[in-house]
Amino acid sequence: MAQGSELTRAKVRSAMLFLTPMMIVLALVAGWPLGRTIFFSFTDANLSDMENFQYVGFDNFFGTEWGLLHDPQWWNAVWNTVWFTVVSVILETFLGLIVALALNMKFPMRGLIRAAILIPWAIPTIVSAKMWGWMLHDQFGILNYIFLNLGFISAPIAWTANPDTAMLAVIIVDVWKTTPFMALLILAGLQMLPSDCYESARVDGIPGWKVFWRVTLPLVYPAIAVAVIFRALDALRIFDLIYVLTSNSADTMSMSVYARQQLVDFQDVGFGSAASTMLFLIIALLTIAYIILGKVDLSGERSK
Amino acid sequence: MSHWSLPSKLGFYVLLLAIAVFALFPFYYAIVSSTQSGQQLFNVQIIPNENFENYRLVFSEQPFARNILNSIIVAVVCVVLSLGLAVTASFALARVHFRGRGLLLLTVLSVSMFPQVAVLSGMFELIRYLGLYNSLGGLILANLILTLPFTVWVLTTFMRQLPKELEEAAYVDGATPLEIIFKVFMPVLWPALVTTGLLAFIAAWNEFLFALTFTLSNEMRTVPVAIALITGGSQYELPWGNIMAASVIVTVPLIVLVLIFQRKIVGGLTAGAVKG
Amino acid sequence: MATVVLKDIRKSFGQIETIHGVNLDIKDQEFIVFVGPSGCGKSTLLRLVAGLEDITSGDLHIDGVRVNPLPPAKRGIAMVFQSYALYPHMTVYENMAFGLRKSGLDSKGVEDSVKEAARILELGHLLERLPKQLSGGQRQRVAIGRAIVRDPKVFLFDEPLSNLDAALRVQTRLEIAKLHRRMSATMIYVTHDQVEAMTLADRIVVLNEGNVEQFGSPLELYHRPQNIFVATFLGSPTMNIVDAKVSAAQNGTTTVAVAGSGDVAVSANAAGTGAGTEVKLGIRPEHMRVTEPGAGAFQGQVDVVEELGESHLVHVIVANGERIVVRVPGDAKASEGENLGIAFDANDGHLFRADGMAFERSGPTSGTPPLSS
Repeated sequence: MAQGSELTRAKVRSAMLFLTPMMIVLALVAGWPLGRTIFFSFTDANLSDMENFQYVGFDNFFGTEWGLLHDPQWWNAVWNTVWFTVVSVILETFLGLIVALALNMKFPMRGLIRAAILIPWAIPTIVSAKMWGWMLHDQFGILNYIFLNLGFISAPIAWTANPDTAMLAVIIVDVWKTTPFMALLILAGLQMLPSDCYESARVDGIPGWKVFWRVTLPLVYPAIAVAVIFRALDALRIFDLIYVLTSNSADTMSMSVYARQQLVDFQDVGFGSAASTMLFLIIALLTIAYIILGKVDLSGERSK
Repeated sequence: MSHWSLPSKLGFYVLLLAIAVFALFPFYYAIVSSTQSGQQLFNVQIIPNENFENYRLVFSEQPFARNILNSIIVAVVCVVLSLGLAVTASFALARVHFRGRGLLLLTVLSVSMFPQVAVLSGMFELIRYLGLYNSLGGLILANLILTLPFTVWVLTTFMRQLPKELEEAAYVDGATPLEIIFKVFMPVLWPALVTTGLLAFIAAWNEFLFALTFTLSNEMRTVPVAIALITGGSQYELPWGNIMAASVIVTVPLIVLVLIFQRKIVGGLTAGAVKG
Repeated sequence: MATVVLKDIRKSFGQIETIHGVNLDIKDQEFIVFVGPSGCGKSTLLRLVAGLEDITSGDLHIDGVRVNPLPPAKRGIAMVFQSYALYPHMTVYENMAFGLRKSGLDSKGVEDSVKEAARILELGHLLERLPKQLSGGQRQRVAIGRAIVRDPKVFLFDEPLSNLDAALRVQTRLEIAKLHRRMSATMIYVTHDQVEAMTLADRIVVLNEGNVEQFGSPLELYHRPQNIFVATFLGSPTMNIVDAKVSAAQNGTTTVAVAGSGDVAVSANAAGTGAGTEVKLGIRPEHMRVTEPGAGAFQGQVDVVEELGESHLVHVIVANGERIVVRVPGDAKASEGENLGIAFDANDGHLFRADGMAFERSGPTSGTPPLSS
């Protein structure tokens, strides 16, 4: 004989009312386009005439002649994306941890340094790509100038065009732009740590590096893990930086760049949608794995 | 730090200096380059000139003022729409118990993980169908996929932190859920609202893929696309001075905003990350 | 001016029932205190009355009307929260006026009500302040003011004093008692503090694990606790409980044997209980006195003496190894390690069955309950 009172019913009724517009918009801008993308991946639709298409089943994925999974260019893009994600996230985590530990100390002008590291984060990706593109310029770039004068290199390097260094250039720019984000998330984790642990460690005379390994790192690990996963999911989608810094070069082409090239430049909506769908599936599986393995607190009950 | 030895202290300050130089130098160098025109660019300099020729050229060689206006319109409308939809939705998600709430939050979170390219063809079709191709309306619609889930998620996190008794006191006083949102919660939450709005603004301002794909003419481009597509008279050499000037123009306001709100932004970023 | 009647009220959160069928009949203008250890369900029960939680089953009547389906604002209640829950962005005046405006009162009426409440609570000079500019005690008064202006049939207080310091708590307690007399409204007050319960209540509801253990006046609960839970929950230091066996039960006096101490007489009616039945003997520390070794009901050695000033608490380890606490006058002498006897009057003893239920007490009750803790 459960009897919801008027208050409960009013609350639930308003909740539904409050959620409906948001859900409609979300369905319109996310659900519907995603559904259509998946749908197009089973067709041979063309960008110039998207109404006329034939169903081609799984040919865009498994077709032996031009199926996605038989395209070495696609696998090159997958490999590039994974390589970029792994290297950049490891570097960003490592450097971010160092920066966070440094900023967690008390020193004069700490606020100033903290503000300084926010600047790369605030700069639009396109702008960072252009700024670094100029600094990495083969003839007039300041980095080649410095390295030449310091004797590190004997001839100018075409950082963004040379197959050996193009991915390195992309990673350098991404590390520059994203390390602050990592550092701030880790710093927030560090500042929530209870100070009595440190005090008791200091009273016991335990050396600093041991405190770091035994106390700090295990305690701040959840904050780092969350930051790493967010960064990794973000890195797998990378488009802007690579598109602007090295354009459609095969040496750095990511899955997103590949998909857009098929879709827009080659007008092949069907095939491009298949590539997009694959990328979506990869990210969706990783997200689900994260939510299940990480036991994400969706309801917010645990934090109460 | 007071108990550190001198070499450790020195090492620490060298580290801080390295961090600061690494963070600041690229933007500083962009400023320097933006004040050099023509042949000056081909000699490396590290002191800015008092030469603003590039800044004039940026506006005269392409509709850059229009591009800035486009970016502002798109970002502001996106933020306003997102906040408008998210304020009530996040109240429902944060403060009301109903079946399916966890699933709904999961959906919102997953949408914010969507790779943009995954909705590209479907969005392209939708925008063309609505007659919004090469218009700001199309960009606003597309950008909502970035700003709306993010705004809902962050505001939900903030709303959960408000004390339950505040809401209950308002119910006892006879307030409706809508009145609680606008007369009790919003006045308390406005700093969070500003932060969330600012972060959403930055996301929309920086958006590139949709703006590149769904616009055609120079007049409809937003700033990131305009900068990416700046070309000079020569086919082979990019006008780096102009590009750097444009970069400085669009970045300075962001940096100012970020520095003003830096403490709140860190809070917002932390709230946006799921607590595992 | 209202009665509050709870009939078999139950509350479940999911599969777990936390309130197990509570029946209460609260009279008009009564001051009722819900007291119990944390997690006993006292706050939940109050929130059920307020309408902040749904009643799973049972009926709740306020002023003769069944209010189960009504939202809080339509129940004629006002509530003072533990954290005060003042609207942080509104002035004191706005805080008190918010609910009145919602009720459709015109601005003149709102102003009069707020001014009147401010006069009663001496808040007149603070009306334009924000909550953050007030001290803890002032915030508390604003929270009470917000309740007063609603002119409710029933006031609900959820541990309103627990955020105040000790001195302010005593003062505010007195103010709430005066307020009750002035408003002549029904009040329900939740606390875990037995001193608040004893001093404020007309009747006390002792709750434990979602059940009402006893409902009665403070002195009734003190003198005639229905079970060991109530007996040990009220009174400080807590009642001594000693295992015993019935030797003989007749004419309202029961003789029980305590291991290692011999027979003692208690004025409790255990007629029909066979000799050898296991029972528990309870005596409050303030009802015992120290005697010469060899005299009195118990013999033991002093373990610790806690000197409180006006009285001392003597902890004695008795023959069977149990600890008994005796409250002695502050000028009495007792030192650690000393051997002594403990005596008490048969009329001061309580006797409980093995399951914790009390045997009816047969003698006149003596002594006065201590008010300080």
